[in-house]
Amino acid sequence: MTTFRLIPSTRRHRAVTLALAGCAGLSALLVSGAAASTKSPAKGDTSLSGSITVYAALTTQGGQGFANAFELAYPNVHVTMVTGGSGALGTQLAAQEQSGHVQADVVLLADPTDMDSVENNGILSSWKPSLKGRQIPLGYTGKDWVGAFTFEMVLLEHQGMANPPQTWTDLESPALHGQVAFGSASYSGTTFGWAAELHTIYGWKYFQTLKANGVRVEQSTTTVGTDVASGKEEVGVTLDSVARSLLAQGAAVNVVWPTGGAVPCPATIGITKDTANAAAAKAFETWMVSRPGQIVAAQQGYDAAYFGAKPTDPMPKHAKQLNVNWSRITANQSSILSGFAGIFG
Amino acid sequence: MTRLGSHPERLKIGVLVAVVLALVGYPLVDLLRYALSGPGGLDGALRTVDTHQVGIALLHTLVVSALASVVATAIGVTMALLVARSDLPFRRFFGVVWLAPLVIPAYVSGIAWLDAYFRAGLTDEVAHVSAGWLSGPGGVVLLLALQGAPLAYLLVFAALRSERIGALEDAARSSGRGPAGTILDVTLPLIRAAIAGAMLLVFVSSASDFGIPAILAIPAGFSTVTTLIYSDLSFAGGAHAIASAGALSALLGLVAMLLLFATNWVGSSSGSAGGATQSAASSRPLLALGRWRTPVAGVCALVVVFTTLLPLVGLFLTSVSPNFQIVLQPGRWVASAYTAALSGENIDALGRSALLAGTAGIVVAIGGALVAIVVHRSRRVAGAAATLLSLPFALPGSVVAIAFLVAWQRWLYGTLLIIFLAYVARFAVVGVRTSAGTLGALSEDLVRAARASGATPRRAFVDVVWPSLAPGMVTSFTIVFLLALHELTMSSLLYGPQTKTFAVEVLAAEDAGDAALTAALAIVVTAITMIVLVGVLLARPSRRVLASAAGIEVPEWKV
Repeated sequence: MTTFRLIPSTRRHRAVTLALAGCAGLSALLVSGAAASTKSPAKGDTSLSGSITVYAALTTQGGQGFANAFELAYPNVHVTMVTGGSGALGTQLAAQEQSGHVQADVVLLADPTDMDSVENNGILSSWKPSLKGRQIPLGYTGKDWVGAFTFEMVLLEHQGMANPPQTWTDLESPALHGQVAFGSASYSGTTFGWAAELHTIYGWKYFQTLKANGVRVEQSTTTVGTDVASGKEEVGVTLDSVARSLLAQGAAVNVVWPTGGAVPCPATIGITKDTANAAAAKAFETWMVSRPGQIVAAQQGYDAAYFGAKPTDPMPKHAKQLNVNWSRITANQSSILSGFAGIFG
Repeated sequence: MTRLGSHPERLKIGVLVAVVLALVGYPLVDLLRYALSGPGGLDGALRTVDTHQVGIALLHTLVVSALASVVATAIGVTMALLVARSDLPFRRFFGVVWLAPLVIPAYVSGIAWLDAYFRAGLTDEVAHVSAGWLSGPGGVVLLLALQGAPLAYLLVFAALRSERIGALEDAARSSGRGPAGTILDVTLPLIRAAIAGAMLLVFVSSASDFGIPAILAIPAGFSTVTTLIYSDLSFAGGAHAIASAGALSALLGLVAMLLLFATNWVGSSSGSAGGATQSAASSRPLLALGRWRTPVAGVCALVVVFTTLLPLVGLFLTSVSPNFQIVLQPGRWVASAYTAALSGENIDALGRSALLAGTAGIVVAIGGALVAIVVHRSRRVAGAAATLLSLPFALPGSVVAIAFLVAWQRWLYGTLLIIFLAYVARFAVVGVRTSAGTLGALSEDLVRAARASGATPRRAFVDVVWPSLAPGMVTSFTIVFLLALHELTMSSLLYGPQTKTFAVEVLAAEDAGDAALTAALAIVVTAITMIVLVGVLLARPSRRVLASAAGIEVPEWKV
């Protein structure tokens, strides 16, 4: 039998006491950190109060930007942002639905298909804000949700490439073997939309060629962006908003708007049927599609869906967008995901 | 053994059985029930399991684990022979330093290796040399092997300390056999049980590892069973995903249990070298390296530099470099990633992890001692219950997490309590077996002597049993604290929006592509581990503590 040695040691007791003291210290830090996050007084609508939790398929920074702006408009409402991939958030919501307690008040996902899954799980309320007076792009409304703003899937290259790709099919070039990355269609809703659209145009053979060309499948579009910025990858398929954020931070990257057309993906927003603060949840969604909300979206680097607000470095005039048929993609979501997973694991 | 208090024995056993059923029995049985009769029924579960994807992931898992097991054991045996049988300079130093991979969380190792050797990493920046293959099956095998090598080293080293083997080696040498012949014909055959045990153990720990494949395999599209379970739950979601993960977990649990039985069978059937142990530092080394002493020591030092030091340097440089690219000039370093790592959600998560690890450590240390006492006095029912309590430690963390999710999510989803209970269930065996070992080694005569001298049962316990039990409980606390602080597999499946642990934050930062923050978080968790361990080691060097801290079962533990 092997046992631990049992010689009493006061020094060991001391070490553990120190470890426990460390725990106490960390708890103290935790408390002080929470106390420090108090809001400064601001003008705004004070008729609403309480807190809401928003599940958002955004970067932490992007999500927090919306939360801060909304809290300025509604100073008595506190917004907790839970960010992650559309697929991950969808699974968490489904698990919560099974446990009988959905923790989100507002759901903001990165493509219509994942939002339709959430809708089909009976998580969303049928309430929608009025979009009267706005020009609504095709595919920007669902049964229980509306489009909030637009992501564009584009190419990103590390600065200094001799012959950067200009089209989606350039990624098949042997010259780019092992130098290309994109996100996971299962995790990232926008990557799913992009993969679904290119599958419609080029078929699975396109992705099989990319696999043979040593493409790497990261988790999120943000990972792809930072990997291109660091030089781990030469080329990536990512969002225009990710590219704008990297450029603002001085990263050595260039955005390439593919000549065949960028793939637009609407961000979708809805409120949950079990929200404990329906008034604030409705206010958040209404604010998001309002002019002030759309201006904040543009300031955050997203393409506004309404009122024509433009981000810095907007889509160039010559750039094209592909015309994505979201109803067909939604109908085939499961087979497209299986096909993608079958090739890339 | 002295009696403890006045509670009837049956009540104690009843409480023990109830705890074991809640922590182990119910979740595992419910997992099986869910897999077989959940959404889609039996057909649905079979359809989920019997897919091309699962088959590939299983094959990948078996192949990388087998390769890692062979490589790790080869490295471990070499290390053990060098430390226990050679006159290698600084062998005691190497003996400790080689254990470093055990105390660095697996996911931190994965991130650190990429920062050091992958494209745009440290070596690429300095010498334009990079290893693109690290992100893929080759990297997974290498890192799993390096993670498993210290374990193989510990097991083989322990076997080599047998006096009987030393005596037989001496006899062989006296009869004119050379050093190489003695090792091949005497030493290795005598430690084959330890070698086989090490291979199986590394295989099982590699097959259930999540941190390394999560970092190195997922981006390369190389799936393993644990990454598939994670992907099922974390990617393209819905109720179907949970059913699929449940079925897959049940399958993995069955495979793991078969392997566990095989491990125990090898351990019991091949027997150990047995006998008393001798000091590792033999006065007459079997392997006299002669003029190779310095070169071999140099190679050993290089191994440490390339496998441990450079990855940590790469990790550090990534954490302080601005603008996404590694910067070597200290003047351009920035501390913003550390500011972020120690503020906001991250400091909340660190506090949460410390709270979870601290409370799990205390509960396991105290609860383990109480269970060991009950088992010591009543071996039948309580012994069976305690054996069941060791099951979650032997099963992959993913399986335990899914079992808890299925069994308890209705009441506990998204709470710290479900993570805490999963930690306690998984690590309970550490407390039970440590205290059981203490009690087994304690002479009954001492207690009888105390009682004969007029001590009450309580007095006899306080004066005789407690002084032996307490140090073991401190060891249990330390091990569980470190294991829980590092824990990623279960936490990544059980956390909710308000209950992210620090390890989950590291994975989230990695997933979000924030390399500097990921590296800073990894450095913080490694630093905390090192501080705790240095404290413990200064108190008393204990390789067993290090081995156990790696989260890998040491098979000779018996309840």
